[in-house]
Amino acid sequence: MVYSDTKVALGSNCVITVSTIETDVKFINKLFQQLWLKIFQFEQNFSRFLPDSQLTKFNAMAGIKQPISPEFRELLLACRKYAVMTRGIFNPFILPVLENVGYDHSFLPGFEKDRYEKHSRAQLIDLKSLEIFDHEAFIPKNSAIDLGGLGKGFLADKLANFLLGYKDKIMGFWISLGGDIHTYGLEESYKPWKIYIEKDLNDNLAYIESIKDQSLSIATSGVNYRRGIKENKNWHHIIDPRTGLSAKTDLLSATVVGHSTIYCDVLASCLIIEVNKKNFKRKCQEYKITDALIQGHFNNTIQEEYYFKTIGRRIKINKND
Amino acid sequence: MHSYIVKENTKLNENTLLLTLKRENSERPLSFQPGQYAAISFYNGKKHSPTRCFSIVSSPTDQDSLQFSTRINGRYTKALSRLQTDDLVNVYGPFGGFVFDLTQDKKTVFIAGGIGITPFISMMRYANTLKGDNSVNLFYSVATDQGIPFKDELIDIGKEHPNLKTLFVVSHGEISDQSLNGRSTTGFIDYDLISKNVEGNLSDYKFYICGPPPFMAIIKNNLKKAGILDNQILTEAFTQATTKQSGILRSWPANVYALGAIGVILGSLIVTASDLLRALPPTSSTLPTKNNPYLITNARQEQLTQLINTISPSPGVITLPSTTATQTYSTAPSTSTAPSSSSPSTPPTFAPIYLAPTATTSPSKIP
Repeated sequence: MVYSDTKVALGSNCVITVSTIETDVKFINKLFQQLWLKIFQFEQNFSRFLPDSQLTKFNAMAGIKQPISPEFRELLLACRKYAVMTRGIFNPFILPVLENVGYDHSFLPGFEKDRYEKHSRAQLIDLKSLEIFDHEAFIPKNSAIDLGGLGKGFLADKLANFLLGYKDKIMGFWISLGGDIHTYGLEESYKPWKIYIEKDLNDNLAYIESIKDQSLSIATSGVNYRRGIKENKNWHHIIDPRTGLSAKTDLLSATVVGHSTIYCDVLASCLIIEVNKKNFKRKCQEYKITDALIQGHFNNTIQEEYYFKTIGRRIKINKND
Repeated sequence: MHSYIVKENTKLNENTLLLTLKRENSERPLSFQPGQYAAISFYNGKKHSPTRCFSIVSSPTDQDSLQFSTRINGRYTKALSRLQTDDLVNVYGPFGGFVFDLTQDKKTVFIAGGIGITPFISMMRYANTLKGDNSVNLFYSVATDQGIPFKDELIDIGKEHPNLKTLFVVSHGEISDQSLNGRSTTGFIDYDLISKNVEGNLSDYKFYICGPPPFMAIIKNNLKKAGILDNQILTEAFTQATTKQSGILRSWPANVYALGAIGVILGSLIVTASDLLRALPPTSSTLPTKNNPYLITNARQEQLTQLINTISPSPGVITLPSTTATQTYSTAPSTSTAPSSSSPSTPPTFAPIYLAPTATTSPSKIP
């Protein structure tokens, strides 16, 4: 039996699909309820668009060492880890820049006018200023952080771990949190799940097949979503912390495949910021990415570049089924 | 502006008021730093009161309530003391640079004169909550040992955290209160008294002084004569009669500090203008309407609260809502989950949809 549910959360559509041998409807309902509860609570705690979220309160009290929840601490530690790994290309302190370039409202239909605390006067600073203690954390006055895609990746991995606790009843699942997908195992008829990488609204670039009894994470970052025009300037939501502006790039999208969704999400955004056609493979090796694909304006046409070391035949290029 | 309601209005002694406010559910909390003050106004049943500034005595870590303390010695504070539970109070701010930074100020001496204790109460509560390793020495000058505001709380903090010490300095009469044994002395606060009661070299300490202007002037001169540098001393003008404040202002350039007074004046003008605007009837463009209910509050926050409450009626216990008891069967995944501004309160359902074997199970990526 395959069960699926789609809901709006974390600023986009989220989908959970589970294939299971369990026929107890109460169990399935309870399982989905717990998953949605975790997703909604995560948004409630860590969305920058909500005035009462932990993140908003933390940013509002910048300059003071503040008590934080264990989950928030894990997220901040992940921020530090990936900032070090990417030598500062990933930087959660980009929130003031995001708001200044134009990403100063929720893109969720119907909620664009929601009021929340803005930080456009704060400064983009180095991650070294983030201090994390056992139960508290500190960011300097006039700074503010945004977890962005890292939060979604973190949550996707947490949800996957939760579902893996029911391995005896679940054959496979996939969790899609607006750009970040974590898949495990097979569907009901023992066929792999197919995860499509979108080329544009009408076409797919490729699809990747899931693996029996194994997890696979796929994250795509793109400049065609969360974008706009402010003061006659185009902006998109992927910020280059070196310039404090939307990343200047030839790429339209970057997809990273791996075994951790948080890792894939962060590195997909870093590829958008740092990569062009020439240095794509070198950067993949530098970041120890095993499988990735990019799409961009190369030689005045839209082209794709691939770098696949491990998933091999499980990826089908330019095929829709 | 932040809207609060009165939770409790008590007297700490015959002329000292402690006003405890509770945040309204839809209101975001006031973000302030320990030692700052805020302006408040209230509705007395007939009209809105003028706005006055008071030190915040609660800790910034307490997000749901706000406390102010003041001496009752005028028409305004008498009116304040008559506020009843659930009366509405508007809070503006926070203001002021008399701020204690737990991460930087590792060795500090707090010197309070009378009701000048109020900003230090916020600082002591904050340091107590976060259990920092800071050495904090509070010298609290009081006229007599009777009816000292916050006496018991300061003694308790000192017992709990020996690095947060309080010495009560009684200027008139003898000490008969047994609870002050070992924590009090008679006389006046000066450099000699501080050096006898503080460990280490005083040149390593930062001095915060708050109280009546003559009290602060005498102590500041005394400290400077003993060799304490100007930039080690931070004072708070604790009176409505003067706005002068001296010493360092953390994280700000000195010239910006000089503009602080102008900021306060502008702030007062804004508050006055806001008072005037509030007196006028609201216009249709500022009221939530059926077509656009999201002008005033954060609709997503309300929706999330509703969704979470629907899933989990009692915290920590997951039960099935009655609407989900029946399994929904369909040949395609649900796609109509986008929120609609015209019907934000539609009851959510949480039953996953069974996908028949012929249905597609291929997710497409949503970057």
